[in-house]
Amino acid sequence: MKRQIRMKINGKAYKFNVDPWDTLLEVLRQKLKLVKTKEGCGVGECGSCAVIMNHKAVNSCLVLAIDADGMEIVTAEGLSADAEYHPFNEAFISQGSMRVSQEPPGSKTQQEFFTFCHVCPGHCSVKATLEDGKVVDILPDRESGLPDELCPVKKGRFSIPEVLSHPDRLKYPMKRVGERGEGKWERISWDEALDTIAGKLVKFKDEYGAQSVAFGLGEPKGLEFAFAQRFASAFGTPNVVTPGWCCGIPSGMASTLTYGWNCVPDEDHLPALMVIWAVNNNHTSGGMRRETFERAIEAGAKLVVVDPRKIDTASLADLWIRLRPGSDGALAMGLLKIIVEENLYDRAFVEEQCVGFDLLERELKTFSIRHVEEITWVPRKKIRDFARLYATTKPATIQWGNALDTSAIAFPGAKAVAILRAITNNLNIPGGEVFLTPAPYMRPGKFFLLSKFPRDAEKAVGKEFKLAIRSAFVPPHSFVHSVLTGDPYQIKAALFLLTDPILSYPDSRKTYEAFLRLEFIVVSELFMTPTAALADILLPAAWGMEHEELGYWPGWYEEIRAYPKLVEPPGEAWADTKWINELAKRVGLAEYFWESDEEALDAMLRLSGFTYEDMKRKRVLHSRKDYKTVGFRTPSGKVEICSESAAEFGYSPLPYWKEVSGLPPLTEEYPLLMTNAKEDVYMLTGYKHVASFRNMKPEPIVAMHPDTAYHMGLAEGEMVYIETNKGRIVQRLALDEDLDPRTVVTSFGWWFPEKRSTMFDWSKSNINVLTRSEPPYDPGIGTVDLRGIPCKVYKE
Amino acid sequence: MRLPQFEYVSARTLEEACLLLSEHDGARPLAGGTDLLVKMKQRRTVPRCVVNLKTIPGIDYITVDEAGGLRVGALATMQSLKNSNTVKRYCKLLSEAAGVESSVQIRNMATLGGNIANASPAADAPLALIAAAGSVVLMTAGAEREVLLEDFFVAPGETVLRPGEIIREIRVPPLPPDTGVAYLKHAVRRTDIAIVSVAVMAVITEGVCRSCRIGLGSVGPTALRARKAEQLLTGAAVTAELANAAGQAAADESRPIDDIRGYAEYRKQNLIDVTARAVLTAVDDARLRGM
Repeated sequence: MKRQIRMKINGKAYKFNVDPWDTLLEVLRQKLKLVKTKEGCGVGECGSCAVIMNHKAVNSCLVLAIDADGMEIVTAEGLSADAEYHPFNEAFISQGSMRVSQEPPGSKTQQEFFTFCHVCPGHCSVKATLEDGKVVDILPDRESGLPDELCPVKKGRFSIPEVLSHPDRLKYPMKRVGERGEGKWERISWDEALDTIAGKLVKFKDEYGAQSVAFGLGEPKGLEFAFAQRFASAFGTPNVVTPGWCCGIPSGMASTLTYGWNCVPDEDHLPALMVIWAVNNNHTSGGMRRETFERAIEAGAKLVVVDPRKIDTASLADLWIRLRPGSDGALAMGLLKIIVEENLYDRAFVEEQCVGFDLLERELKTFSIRHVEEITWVPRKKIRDFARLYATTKPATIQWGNALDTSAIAFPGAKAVAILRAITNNLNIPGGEVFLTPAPYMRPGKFFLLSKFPRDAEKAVGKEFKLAIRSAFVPPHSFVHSVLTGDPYQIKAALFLLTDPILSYPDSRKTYEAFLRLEFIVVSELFMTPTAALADILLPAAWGMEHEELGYWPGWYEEIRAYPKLVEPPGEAWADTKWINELAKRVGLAEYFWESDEEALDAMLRLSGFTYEDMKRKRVLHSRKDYKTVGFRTPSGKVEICSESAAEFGYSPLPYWKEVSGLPPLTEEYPLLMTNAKEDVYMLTGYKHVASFRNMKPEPIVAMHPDTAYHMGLAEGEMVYIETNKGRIVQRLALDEDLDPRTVVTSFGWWFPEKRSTMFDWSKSNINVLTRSEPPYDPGIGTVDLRGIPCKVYKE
Repeated sequence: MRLPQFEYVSARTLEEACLLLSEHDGARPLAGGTDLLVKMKQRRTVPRCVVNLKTIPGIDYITVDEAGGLRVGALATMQSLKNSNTVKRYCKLLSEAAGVESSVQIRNMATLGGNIANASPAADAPLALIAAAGSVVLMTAGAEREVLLEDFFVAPGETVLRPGEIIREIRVPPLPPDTGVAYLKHAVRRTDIAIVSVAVMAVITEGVCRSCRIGLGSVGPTALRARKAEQLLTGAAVTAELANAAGQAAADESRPIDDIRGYAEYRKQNLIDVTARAVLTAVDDARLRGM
């Protein structure tokens, strides 16, 4: 099928053998590693793959390689040494078709503000362009020297202007007047809304105790998360559900209990080897920014990618480890075994700085590499190649991602990876992974008032999950269980801020039932969502750029940033910080809050000596790195390969093979493994209203190997059912010959805002209909398996 | 996202293309690829075979016939239409519509023939051609026929094209004297998919509308002609009031649906205003003789 084509690329002649379905983009990026040509949306909307073909700009994602036979191609690399400031790129940005305006560029007075994109945890530095008081474009900030490489799909550039002036934004507080979920609302004033909420909260607290009121929080955006946590502490409820239970905490705690801190790849010194493990950071976000990755590749760094999918980085990798979803811990143990048994670790560092190495050595003898191969589906040779490459290339860095956090064995798995870093002496060295000293701002835990009002584990639902409670949250299934069964008591009321539990909690049907059972629900949102539709009181939230805001999230950068107010919020929308502050006054907690919520901005910064006004000019306070390889913040002051303090939270002191290899078996009934990935286009469950996103990815897609589809009689492009023992959903089938024939990759977070009469079809394609809320749980945090779940796929 | 796999054949002549299309079951013709490849990546269509038309020489022309009508080869790109002085002079409507059809990278690949065959009710150029009384020349291996653009579309993605039939040429008749035109699109971005779009071609002498054609985009399963609005204007002196009434008539004739870009109600409401503005713009255009 392959055909030979010839092209002149950046002045050099090349020959390639290509399949008809290979695109020009795939050839440029994968065969020539011209990494400045990026795949964003892949369907011609974002322009990140633009190249010049025979003197004309085209999107290389929509040009068949075979059709480029005989053509002359110029990529960013061929344009100039620094294409970012080349006139072509300037023109591309200013004349590009992304400005949200009907007027030609330059025909109106513009104002420009430097800020940060607030759509995902990447927080790229951007320049917002305003016309007539409206944000019309979000451009990379090429003037401040801060990380500014927008995601290839240009999530913020597309969605921010659209969401800021979207006609479907919630504009007024409303109360439910029909049955719950019936869609009948009455507009009310903020006073009425807050009085109602305060009245209910005080009543529940008096009758059933403060713990009868729960909070559900989404990923932190500005200070709203911190305000809600502070409110919960002062009010006296430990029942706060946050995404921590499946994002950041299992791996972060494994790090912390091993060597005292979480760590991130050093971006100031390039590594000689990058391991990209369970994260698609070129397309979504992660500790290693795209620009660092690109610089390292161009400087000749080796690359290993651990992912069940052949993601963008995998196609550039020296070694792609296609593992069984959920077997990361077993793989890490296999690597440890080879590194230890072949004496490839740093003996001096281990002897001087680590405790418990002998126990690890003993544990590594309990299994063979053949076992690792069986569990992980990775050929032995590849495991060995990976182990040797990692142990012998210095400095090396492991960028890990969310998939390591989403299973009941997340903690031992992540701990095994943490040990890998330590025994190869890559911890806190230039080009390795580093501990960051936070910028001088109030630590979130202090803002949450955790020492003044410690979370009372005895009163918490899910009190057995001690590490969760120490991290100021409870797992969602404990909340749902309490509402549905009254065990250990009944949560009566819940307030949800910028979160969509119907989509994002495991076991959606149970979550939905729990929502029907709750006595009082408050939701603060931008748009009507499946969760918002079930509220009793619905509050319109102001979004980023609509109020003054400080952001400390994501925690891995240990920075704080200012997000100035640029536009007015729609209607009567309020910042969440504002209504929480006002609500606090109404329930007798005024002394722990402020006259106005904006005073908290200064309080947050007091340690630094700056005010919020200063910060608006300064924009960001950076963290510091010291590259110290002694004095770890653990009970022994050393790297604790064996950590006795882990036992306090129900964990084994070191990862045991039995734990990490205990994966659910494939059966005749459920012969496939379902996994999922962060959507390139959307942000988790959000922004399905954004029309330009829906152009890029209109529907949920499930991918599987062509042979599997053939055996099951499924045809590419048709709608298929995906079923587990919890339920079934439907998504559109795509074939991907790079997947393991047993792996099925579903799309996460799908609902359909245009389906107004059927509750947005919340259960139709939502993969949490398939996940479970029952044990086994991670013992300290309560995480359940959200990836690597046995399933079957069929058509009606 | 990678493309699904397919068999790929290239045609060297139009006749060969027709033969290849009728020989291969479920084959799809590929011109610029900016719609077909998108649908394939999104798995909304998974053809077993793709027949490449870009290897057919000589069908990307833009010329004028003896009568003063515009003739465009099916493979002429949208950007070549936008840049062409001939198109600007002989069919300003098409020139304007091509100019707001997506980004320059897309326009450099997208062809007029492909844009028409894709049959999106929101497409810009086909709507302009409906108002300009344009037609398409369709050919099979043995025969050729000419169909008015307004009769060409059946439903979203569906046309009167028969198996093995392709678009060879697009024709626009010469403009009568005193013609004014307007192409207005309501969208989030200038080059986005339309929420509502209106194309007007009107012959106006001394302020009186002698004849007119109004095309409506994104408010029905195909681009529509607003015949009631046209009747209202024909023979009348066009005032702002009448233009509004025409807008109302157009809204009454439209059949929009709710989708992610806009609700049906919003589209109807918006159509009144966009139509009225387009009519008045066309009147101005006639007065200025298209300058």
